[in-house]
Amino acid sequence: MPDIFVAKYKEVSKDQKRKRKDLTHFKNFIKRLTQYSPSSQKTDSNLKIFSTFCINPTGISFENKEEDEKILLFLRSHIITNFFWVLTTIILLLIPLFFVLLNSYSINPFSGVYLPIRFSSFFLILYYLIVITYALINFINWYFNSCLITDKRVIDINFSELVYKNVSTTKFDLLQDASYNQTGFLRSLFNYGDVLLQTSGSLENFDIRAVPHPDRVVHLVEGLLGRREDT
Amino acid sequence: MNILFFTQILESFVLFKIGFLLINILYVIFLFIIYNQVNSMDKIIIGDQGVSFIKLVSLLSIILAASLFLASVVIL
Repeated sequence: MPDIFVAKYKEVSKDQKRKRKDLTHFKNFIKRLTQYSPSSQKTDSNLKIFSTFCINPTGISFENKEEDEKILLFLRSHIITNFFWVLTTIILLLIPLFFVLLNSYSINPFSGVYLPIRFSSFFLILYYLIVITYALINFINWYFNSCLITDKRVIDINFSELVYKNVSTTKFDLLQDASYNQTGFLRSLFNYGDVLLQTSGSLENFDIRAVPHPDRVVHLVEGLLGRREDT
Repeated sequence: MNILFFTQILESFVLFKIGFLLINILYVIFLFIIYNQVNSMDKIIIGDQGVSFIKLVSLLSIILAASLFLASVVIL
């Protein structure tokens, strides 16, 4: 009987050592993560307007933030995802100029239609306003679709079509697994992908789309999940 | 199509003017919705400098659209 007791004591001791080792490993991992920031080592500390991946963002907060809660990561879709609407906006902005250019070469596709100057100028202003609004809506959609990872939870902000706004929050206790998907030429070239955070039970999974450095995001979340299991 | 005839129809067509003003009004309301949404997002993410920029742009759009509406009421 005493032998069995001694054996048990040794097992616990090993387990504790492993936990300590894991915790040290996690601390080192966080330290390395904050140090390793290839895109901009100095500027990553503060959140900029076009920041898409920001470790330890300073100067921002969110609704219902706890006092001892620390934001570890701020995520937004990769800036390249804006390419198509930016291109569309540029084309739309250039269309009237294209007609002016055609007119200067005496080629007028609407030669049969004559609009008085007051009508055409109003149409032109309205047209440009609509184009600017189109760009603004797309920019807002990109800008507000963001995700915050704190040391306690994940906050996913979904904002689309101006009328749909969803703020989902889950604590790390409810997270089961983290994985990422990076398929396609553009995604490989610009290093961005979708991160899937699976929650337990019937809770909705978190799908963070087109975020830069998805491997690092998953690494961070796994580190936080590992810490949760240790404690 | 006779150019003069088309222009006369366009100018005298009251519905066209009303339609134009209606689109303008709807557009201003739409911009207000955008501004309101941006304002509400300001409470979710606090301290983000970009939100102020977007608010400014949407506010300028509202002013532009409202000016266009007023100008169209007077001129058209």
